[in-house]
Amino acid sequence: MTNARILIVEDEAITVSALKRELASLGYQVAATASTADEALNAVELHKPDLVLMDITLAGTVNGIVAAVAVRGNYHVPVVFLTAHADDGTMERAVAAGAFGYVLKPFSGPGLKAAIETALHKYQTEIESRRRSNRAA
Amino acid sequence: MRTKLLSNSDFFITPFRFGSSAWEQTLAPIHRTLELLGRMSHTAATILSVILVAVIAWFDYITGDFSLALFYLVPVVLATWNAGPVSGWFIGVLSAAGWLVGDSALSHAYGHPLMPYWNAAMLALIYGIVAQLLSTLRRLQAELQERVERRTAWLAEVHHRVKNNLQIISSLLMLQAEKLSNAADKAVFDECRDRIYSMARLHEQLYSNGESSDLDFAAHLREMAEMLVRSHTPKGCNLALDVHANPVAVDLDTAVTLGLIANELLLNALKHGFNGRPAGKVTVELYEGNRNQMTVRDDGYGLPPGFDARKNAGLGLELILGMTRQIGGEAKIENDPAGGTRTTIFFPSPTFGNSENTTPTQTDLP
Repeated sequence: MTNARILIVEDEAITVSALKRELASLGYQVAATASTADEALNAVELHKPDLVLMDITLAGTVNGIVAAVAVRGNYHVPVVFLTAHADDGTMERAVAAGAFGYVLKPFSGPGLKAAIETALHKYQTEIESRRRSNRAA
Repeated sequence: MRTKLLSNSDFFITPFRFGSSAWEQTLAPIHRTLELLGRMSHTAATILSVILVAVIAWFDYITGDFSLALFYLVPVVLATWNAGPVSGWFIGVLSAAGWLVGDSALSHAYGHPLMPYWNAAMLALIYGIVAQLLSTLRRLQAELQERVERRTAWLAEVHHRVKNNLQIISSLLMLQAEKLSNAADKAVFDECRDRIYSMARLHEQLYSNGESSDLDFAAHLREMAEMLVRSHTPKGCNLALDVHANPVAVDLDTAVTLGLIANELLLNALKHGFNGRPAGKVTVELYEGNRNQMTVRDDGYGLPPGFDARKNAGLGLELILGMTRQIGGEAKIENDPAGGTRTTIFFPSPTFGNSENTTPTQTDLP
């Protein structure tokens, strides 16, 4: 799903700039950027992105995993983690938070695209399956 | 709509994990039992210890000549471990008194009427010393555990910083490259980003390996080859990648250097092997042996006629040769009989015990 609108939640300005360009070159639109969990929630509400690309370590006191739970719970937007954390514990917590995928830093263009496309596809499948079960009920 | 966020602690509870060495495995049941005992409240542990003293004293009394002095250590240990040295001393003294009661049932002919009291006092002192030593041990154990937890958290933070900094360097290269108009210049920056990516993945594997410093280079080689082929396949070329990589354990230094060599070889193949061709194949092989062997082969154009690596070495080839020497290996660059270029890197295998004594040999160049 090219042209998808993506919210970048990342507290490193240089990484945000690189991400914007990388996403644009991959055919996505950057809906907005945020550096804290609060900003992320506001941006999701305001810009209604198709996907959130979320760093785990954010500025402020609340981390990206907690923010992802709130995004998933309140706005039902798929979240892909972009993180330098690669340990099993973090991955388990990311999965528990409802992550649709993750990209390890430093990211590569193909890796980023694969994770985003997989997440969007998985999300679409999830929605359709929910619709079918609603109709059946 | 504003959303109330949970706190980080709801998701970041990292319990201390007892290690997995044979020594720690043996001690694990004791550790678990002590952990269970450690969860009892001070009062509960002290009351339980008093009851245990009473039970042992009663047995001591009814069994007569059998000495049960050693068994009083159980309540002493329980009280000390859980409620501290004061409680331990208290239970020690109580145990000595219990022993004295048991001893009174016997008709020992002591040389002096105060002798049983002296013996009881000696026992109380021994129990007290045990309590004191145990409480010191517990304090040291707690301090050590705290230090390990701090060090683990610090290591995770360093790892995170390293990865983040590599991301920032990679991002800066990308942003700088944007200002260049020449495609060849841009490609140089892209290659630098690929090298950073390769090093970062190895760093990650090292961190995931925990205490082991050996890395599975095969997994890394496969991932890197797939990533490079995905991102650097020439336009219009249907390129196949074939990877035959056996697990080869190498240390981090060798892995980083080998990773960079493989990066250069693959980029060379992708940049120069297939331009203008509709299809092609890149083969990557890794075998363990007396000398480990890594081969990157393509079925592209092959080496230019009259190519002499000693005279015509560009930066890529210069790096390959230098890094191969660095790991005590040798490189063989040749035209593949089936067409294309084949480069084989032979490098020492720590498994065969020749990693330190290998003398770099003459590199076999066309």
